[in-house]
Amino acid sequence: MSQQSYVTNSEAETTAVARELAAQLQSGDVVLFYGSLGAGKTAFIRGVLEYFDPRVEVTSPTYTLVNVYPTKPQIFHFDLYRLRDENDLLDLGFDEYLDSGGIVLVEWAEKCGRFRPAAGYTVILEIEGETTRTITIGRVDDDSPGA
Amino acid sequence: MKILGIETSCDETAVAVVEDGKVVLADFVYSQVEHSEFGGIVPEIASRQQLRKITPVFETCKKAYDISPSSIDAIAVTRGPGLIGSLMVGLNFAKALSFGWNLPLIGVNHLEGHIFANLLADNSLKPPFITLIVSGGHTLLVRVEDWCQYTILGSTRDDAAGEAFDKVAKLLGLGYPGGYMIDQLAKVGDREFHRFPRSHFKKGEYQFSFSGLKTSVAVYLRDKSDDFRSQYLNDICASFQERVIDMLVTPSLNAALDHGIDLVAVGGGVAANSRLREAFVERAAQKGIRVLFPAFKYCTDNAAMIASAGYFRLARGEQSDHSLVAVPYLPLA
Repeated sequence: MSQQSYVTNSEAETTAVARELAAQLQSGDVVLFYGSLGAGKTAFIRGVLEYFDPRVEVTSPTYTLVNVYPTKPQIFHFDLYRLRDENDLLDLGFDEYLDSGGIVLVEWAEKCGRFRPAAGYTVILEIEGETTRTITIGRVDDDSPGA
Repeated sequence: MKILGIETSCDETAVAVVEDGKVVLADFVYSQVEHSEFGGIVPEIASRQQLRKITPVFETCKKAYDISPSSIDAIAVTRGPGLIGSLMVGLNFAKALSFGWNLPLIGVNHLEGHIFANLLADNSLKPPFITLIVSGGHTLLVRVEDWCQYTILGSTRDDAAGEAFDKVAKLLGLGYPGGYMIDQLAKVGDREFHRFPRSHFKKGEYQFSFSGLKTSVAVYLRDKSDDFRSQYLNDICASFQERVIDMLVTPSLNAALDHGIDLVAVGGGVAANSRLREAFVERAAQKGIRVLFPAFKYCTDNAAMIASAGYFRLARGEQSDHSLVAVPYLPLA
């Protein structure tokens, strides 16, 4: 597992880091986001979308649970904030999105529980001050047998 | 003309009968939110619950009004926006009734329903007017040109206003629904206690943004002790709420003034907020603008507003066939 940390001092700096990550993403990739309310998860994802298609408007999927963006490849933006537990993921058809060939971005990934994808990127956002954030980006490769 | 309305777009299962788009003959809503026992945030993923509730809700509504092929003229149903699984339950129920009873089917946009909730409150309402739709999932400013004809003037860039209420309630350790809790506590709080920042947009832009406000509350609370939080809870709620309300009222009134329209109709769950109602009416009156709100029970999701919208769509000669599909991100215009 590789890992890299950044300290950003504005939302613009955060989205710049996001565009850098976006440049590495490919069809089938999953990015799991961790961070408290207001840490900047949606802002980061706005940066990812800026890389793929700046015309796409990214709004919070807290109530819609998943936003589907018409990018190439398609991007699925999940927000698991309202989920009660991991079993609700099955109702959402989460596993089908993972196999759909798109890029899957997941806010509140801690709610994935035992359905957490084995491989993918993790982005941890921490509030350090009014506009200062620590961003830690990690990558886990699936080295399980048969992968 | 009597329209049966069916609404299952999110956490509510609702059936209603409305005459001529204005007179509610029967109306029943089952809400998963009220039955939430989690004291927090989480209404259950709705579709399975919708499936369980749609028939009982329909039967309950039938007790108030004898719904039959001869007692109603058409069936209106929400086709989006909403959760796909939830939408499909109501849509398929409506299709089956339409097919079995040989009655016209009419698909309705959920957001449009929130506009018609105002017509249920004031039967004399007539376009043109400005509408602010403000709920957990939506914050949208619309110019209603004529019934069923809309121009979108602005929307939220990030979070919906109701979402900001719920998330800030969570930050403050309050229960669900967060908007209601904050509304109650703010009544005895000092609105000037803390000045949270507001989002700024160019003149003539009727946009909304609540993510920054939510973040500033999170940052503000970081170094505050539990004692401080509980001592000033009402004040923090009042200060936050006042800021949200200002960010809703200002663009709405600006839009009305810029468009030379003297009526603003508000809809959606946040329209039930008592301070929003008070501040909106007060500030609008200063500018010679009238503000209309639905009855409290028609602010949240309901089927009466869907039946009302369906009546006006039907009156325009519109009708859906049985290939009608649910569209989770259905735009209003």
